Amino acid sequence: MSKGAAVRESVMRFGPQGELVGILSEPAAPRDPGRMLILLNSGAMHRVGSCRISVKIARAAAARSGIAALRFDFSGIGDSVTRPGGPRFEESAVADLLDVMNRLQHERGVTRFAVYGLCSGADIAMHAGSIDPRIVEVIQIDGYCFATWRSRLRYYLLRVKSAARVMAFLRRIFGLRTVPRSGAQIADIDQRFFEVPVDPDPIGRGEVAAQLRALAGRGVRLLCFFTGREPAFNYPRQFEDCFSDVDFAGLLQVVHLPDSRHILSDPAAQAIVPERIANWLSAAEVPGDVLNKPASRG
Amino acid sequence: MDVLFLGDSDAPLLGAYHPARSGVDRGIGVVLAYPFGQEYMRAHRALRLLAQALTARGVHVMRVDYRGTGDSAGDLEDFGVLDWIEDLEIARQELRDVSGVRQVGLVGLRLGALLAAELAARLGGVSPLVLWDPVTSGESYLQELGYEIRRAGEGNNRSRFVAPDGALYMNGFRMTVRFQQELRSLALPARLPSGCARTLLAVSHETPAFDRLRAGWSEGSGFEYRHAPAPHDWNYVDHVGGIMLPQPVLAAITEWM
Repeated sequence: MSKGAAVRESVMRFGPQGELVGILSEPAAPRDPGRMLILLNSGAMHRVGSCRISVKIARAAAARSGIAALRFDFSGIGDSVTRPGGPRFEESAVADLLDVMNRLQHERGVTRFAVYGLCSGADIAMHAGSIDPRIVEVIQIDGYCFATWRSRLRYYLLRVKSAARVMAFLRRIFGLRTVPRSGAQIADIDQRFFEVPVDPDPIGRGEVAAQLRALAGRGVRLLCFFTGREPAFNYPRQFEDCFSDVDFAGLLQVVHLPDSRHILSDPAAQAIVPERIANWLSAAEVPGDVLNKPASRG
Repeated sequence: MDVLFLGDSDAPLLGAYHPARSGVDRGIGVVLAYPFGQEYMRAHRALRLLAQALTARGVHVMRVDYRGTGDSAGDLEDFGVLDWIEDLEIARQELRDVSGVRQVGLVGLRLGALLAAELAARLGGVSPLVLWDPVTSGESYLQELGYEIRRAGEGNNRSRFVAPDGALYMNGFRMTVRFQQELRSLALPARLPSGCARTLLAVSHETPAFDRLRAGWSEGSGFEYRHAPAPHDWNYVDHVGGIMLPQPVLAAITEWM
């Protein structure tokens, strides 16, 4: 199948019975057949990604970087079948990813993987990258980051400057305003009719730092996008400040999209994210036997 | 389930074929018609589960991503809503080819229901036909989107706004002027499309527009109406990638089928 002349797309099935479904985007002229981008689900959204961003990223990677890209559904999401035995999502998702990589290595000779994820997908990409040496590049959108003294200061200063925000804060303090916490509350949908596959067990800063250290120690390149202005991330160097005890050895690139929402629903993010990822993938050859070249900070 | 590309090999559509469960095959099929934009994203799982439930009732099912959507080729900006009606007919033909059944109907959700009814009216004899919370006219849909955009605050919201060229941005998806113009030409007919032996209007909530439709179509034979209370705003956003599943409507359609 083709999309114009630049990218050919085909269906791939994984697992003993073909339980997992994916779409492979292949460049007409592969730049490096031993390297592939894999795009993971975000929450319960199927493989096309939030606002179809995974399709755009996959096609940009193939057309502009010459790198094949696979977007697939984890067990129980999209068109993929649930794994028997009901393992926790975080366990089954990592197992799914490793199964997919095994098959691609065995059948297509792919030995180096870039793994992309947004939100829960970002967490899984990082976790898998910390345990599997075939993952040499990790791309995260709104992965883990924690408040720093500077982010807290900025957060409260911005609110003090706004009378409306001060009033909202006071209403919340005195119990006159409830802040939506769950996805169902934010979506304003009765919880009985709302499904989220992700285990609500966030890990702490220490564990995230350990995973990042494992990535950096292997020379894994890391591209991190952060959206919005909330305390989770509200200034460009917050990720580096938060993990100042991790030596990224020049392999980290951070992109802050302060005016974009988490689901990348604004047209600017829809254009910027695929372009930046394609450029970042193009910027390194990522040979199998040599650690990656340092990437400059964006 | 078989996932396949279909249609023009230069601009293929992504389809998912769910064969009828062996032993209960009734020799009929349906194509599921998705809604627009963020609604498509949020409804994908519900329509997959509906497809699975229908196969257990002996129905062959095809789901298809319209041109410029989902895993199908192209970008949303390059196509109009009339292209999507063609895509539904391509999917019907593909379902005939892969399943061997001759009788292939349509099940549409929201905008998909309007497109399904339009195709049924053009072709005649399409059965079964299921309209789930249908958009009753292109004009009313555009008014609905316009209201949501105004409610979000024109000029201040980067996800819901009207672009200088007239395109509508709604939660991550752009509806071009061409798409809007074609959409304005569409409306559910006042009377049941000819030759629809079995038609279901399945609603999760009651509105004056649904009441009018019900009143007009009830005069035709083979028409049924089911009200299954459930959430119905598919244009929501959240921060965890959650999915709405209005099980009462899925059950009502499956039971009727």
